[in-house]
Amino acid sequence: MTSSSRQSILDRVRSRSLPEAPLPELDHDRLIRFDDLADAFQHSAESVGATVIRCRSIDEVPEHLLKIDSFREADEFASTIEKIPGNVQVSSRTSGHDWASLDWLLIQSRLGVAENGAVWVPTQELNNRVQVFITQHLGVVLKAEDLVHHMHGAYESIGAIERYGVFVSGPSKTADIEQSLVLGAHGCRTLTLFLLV
Amino acid sequence: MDRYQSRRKGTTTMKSTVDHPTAAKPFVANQERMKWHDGALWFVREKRDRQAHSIPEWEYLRELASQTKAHTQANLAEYLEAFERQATAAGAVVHWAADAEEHNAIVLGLLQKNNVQRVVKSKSMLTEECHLNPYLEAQGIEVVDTDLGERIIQLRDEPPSHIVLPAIHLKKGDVGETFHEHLGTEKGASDPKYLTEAARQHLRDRFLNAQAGITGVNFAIAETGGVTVCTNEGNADLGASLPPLHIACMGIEKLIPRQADLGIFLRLLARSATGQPITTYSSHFLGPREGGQLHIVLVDNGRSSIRDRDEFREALNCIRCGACMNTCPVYRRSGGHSYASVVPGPIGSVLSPAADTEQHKSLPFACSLCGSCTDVCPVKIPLHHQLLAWRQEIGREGLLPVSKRMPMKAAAALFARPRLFAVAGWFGRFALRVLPHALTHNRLNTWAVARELPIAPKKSFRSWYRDQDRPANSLPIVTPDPESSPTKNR
Amino acid sequence: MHIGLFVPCYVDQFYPDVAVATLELLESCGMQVEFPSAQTCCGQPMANTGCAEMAVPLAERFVEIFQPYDFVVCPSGSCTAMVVHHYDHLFSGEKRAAFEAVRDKTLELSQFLERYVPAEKLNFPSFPHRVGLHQSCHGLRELRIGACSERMVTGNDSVGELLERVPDLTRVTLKRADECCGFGGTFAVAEADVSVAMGLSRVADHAAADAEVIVAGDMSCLMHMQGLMRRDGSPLRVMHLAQLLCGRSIDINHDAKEQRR
Repeated sequence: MTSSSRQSILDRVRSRSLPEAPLPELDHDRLIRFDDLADAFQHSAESVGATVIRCRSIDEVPEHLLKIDSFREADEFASTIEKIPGNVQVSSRTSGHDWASLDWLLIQSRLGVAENGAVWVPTQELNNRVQVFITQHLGVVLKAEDLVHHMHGAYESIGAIERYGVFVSGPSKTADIEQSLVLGAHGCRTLTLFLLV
Repeated sequence: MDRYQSRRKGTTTMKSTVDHPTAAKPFVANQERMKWHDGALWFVREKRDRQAHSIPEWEYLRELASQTKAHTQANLAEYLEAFERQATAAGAVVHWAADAEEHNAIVLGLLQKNNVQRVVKSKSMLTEECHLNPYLEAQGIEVVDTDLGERIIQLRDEPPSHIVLPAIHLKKGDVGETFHEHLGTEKGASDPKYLTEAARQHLRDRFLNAQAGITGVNFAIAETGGVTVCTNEGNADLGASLPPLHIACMGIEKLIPRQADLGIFLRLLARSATGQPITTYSSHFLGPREGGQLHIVLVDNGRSSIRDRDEFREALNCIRCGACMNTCPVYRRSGGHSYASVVPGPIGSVLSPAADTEQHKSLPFACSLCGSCTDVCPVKIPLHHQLLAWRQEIGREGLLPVSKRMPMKAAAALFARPRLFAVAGWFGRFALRVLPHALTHNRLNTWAVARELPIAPKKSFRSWYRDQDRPANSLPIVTPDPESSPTKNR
Repeated sequence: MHIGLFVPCYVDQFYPDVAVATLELLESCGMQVEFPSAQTCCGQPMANTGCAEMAVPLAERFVEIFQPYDFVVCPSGSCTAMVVHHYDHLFSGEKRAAFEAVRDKTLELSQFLERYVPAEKLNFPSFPHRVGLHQSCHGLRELRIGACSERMVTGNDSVGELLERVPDLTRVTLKRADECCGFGGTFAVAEADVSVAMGLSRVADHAAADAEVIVAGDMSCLMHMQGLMRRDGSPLRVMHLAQLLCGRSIDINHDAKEQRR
């Protein structure tokens, strides 16, 4: 059944040949460039509801974390950053469902996009990718030198994707009720970006 | 079960002809709500404008997007095969469905094979088009829509009224009542924050208990075999990451050639849709997660026949951003349900007649031909020209009602005869001057139900001109004799 | 330059002064203008209603009638757009060449003034009123006589620039710069409820901006809005751009005596 539909769809499409249209090549000279990537990124990220904290090094991150109410109140905190370990036994959690009670997740990103405040999160370092979505609060550490101007630059930097990767721009949100913006729909309620400058 | 079938009544499951002006009447008549709806969507349009303005290369991106889609369409068979090859190599299973029925059967088969009774689904206009929910419900499978807007209308047993903002026709008080009834929120509570939190708690439970997750696909990449899904809420990822089975359903027009092309489309999509620089989550799936299964269902369901037609092909470039709805002055004032189609607004009025011309013949006329949709479209679909093309097609197929065709025939005959036109014009203006207002503005005159007719001057311009001492037609112009003109109306 | 004046059929019959003003305006710029009286309608109502075949004879007549002139100028963006953009599939074979020649010299009034009249000749009388400019959709999005709010391009604004040259004129700022008024030809009758709702919100935008008069390059939009305003007893007036540039009274289209000259 399926294989015959495969053939019939392909035959149908092939039976009508269209004028050749070349695949356009991107002219990089026509794309936006920001004078100050860190400023542009911060502006974009804040406009989509993220909090940006500038730090000189990773060592400053813990003191900032402790100033955040949701972090101080968190029972479960997981982290992929060696210098700032979490308080949950990662190896004991084999299924995504085990992460349902996660309050805070701290991860590192190696790519941020100035035009839209998005950070790229490849999830290989996590024991389960659902952590990114199921956690109540998300923190991401990012070096300013890893910022690019726009999405075209981002895809050049990403290269081949291994199984899964996600751009995250601000905390989870919805405006489905009367166009009122509410942060914290199904995913993280807050997103804190630690920008190492 | 009955509720879900009734939800689709008035949409395409019932084969009655849609009469847009009649369907729009009650929506327009509720002035206060109509104005609120208009304002809510205009607010989104303005957000879109601000975001588009922030990108100096906006028009260049639209051009790139349009060219990329045209290229993909021209090489669609090759790209479909490449996608299948790469997706399979990455560990996904690719299925092909000629139509909605086959799509539904494939999904059901996968669910049954895996003993699935509970499914969470993120937004997918394709599954809406195929009426997957009522089909699965009829087989005893629970399907929970997890996008907040979709969940609201699912609980209310209504179809979506917009492709991106499915519950845009509802006010917070309506949502409060629905949630009070179904989720036990406090009676009278209508704070969006409170209601969203209630939905979060309710749906988190559904995510954790689901045995399969169904998602749509925003873009499928031929080069890698990956699919990209965009949401703001994070519901697609929870649904695709918690249960072991992920089924991604997509129309064959969702393909793009290369991963790098996502740069173009992701820059355009959310800015056009909701005025965000990008959706909160842009998830890239390449094969199943460890220990899980990923099935991708490729669906034609009429797309290849739209591809065959030069005048409508570009409608397949659509990335379902909904910008044409937000900007459409008719949509904003008539509401999504007045189109009685899965996809309302300008793009819906192009796609629906392709599926069934007779049934949707009034939709291409639900348009003032203002052209705003064409200019707002991120992939440059000439929407208002396609709507005009549909009007001709409907005329050619003999589907125009007599009320539309007869006056045109009479007018065309008149316009072919300048002297007759002048005489008729004189009579018309004369009648307008001498007849009582009540007679010229009676209920049968649709123009005059809410509008005055123009003040009739005694003389037409042509008559004034003739009376002047001016050289009329000093150039050798042949004034055709209406009776012997070779071009006279046949 | 020998100009053939292309007058929309409803202007001919209901708003003759708009055509008179257009004629005067062009002549004051030193043009030689003629109204070929064999013209009737461009065929747009038929084509937009799905009866394009009925528009074919009208389109053929149009080309025949206007062939001899250097330019065809029309005080309507919509009727001009019909000829320039939508006659295309009505002509085939040997008739195409003549059509293309006429198409390429057909212009909307403000387009013509912008392109072919030297700036020093564009001197207009004082118009001490608050003016709301209604940009008609076909002028804007078919002919591109101005930059519409959807597109991210900075472009010409031929009507706006003409208004800037009028002494003492105050242009009001609208909330929605270029939304459709809801006329749309037969749409106004076929979708009367939506059309009326669109028109009322367009009028309300001008009223909220404290305009005294709504000015447009298309009398059809104004006929629709005027109909709504007269029903509601609104003090707002409507004027075609040509009438304003000729310094007509603000009451020109509202006073029966003014009309019945």
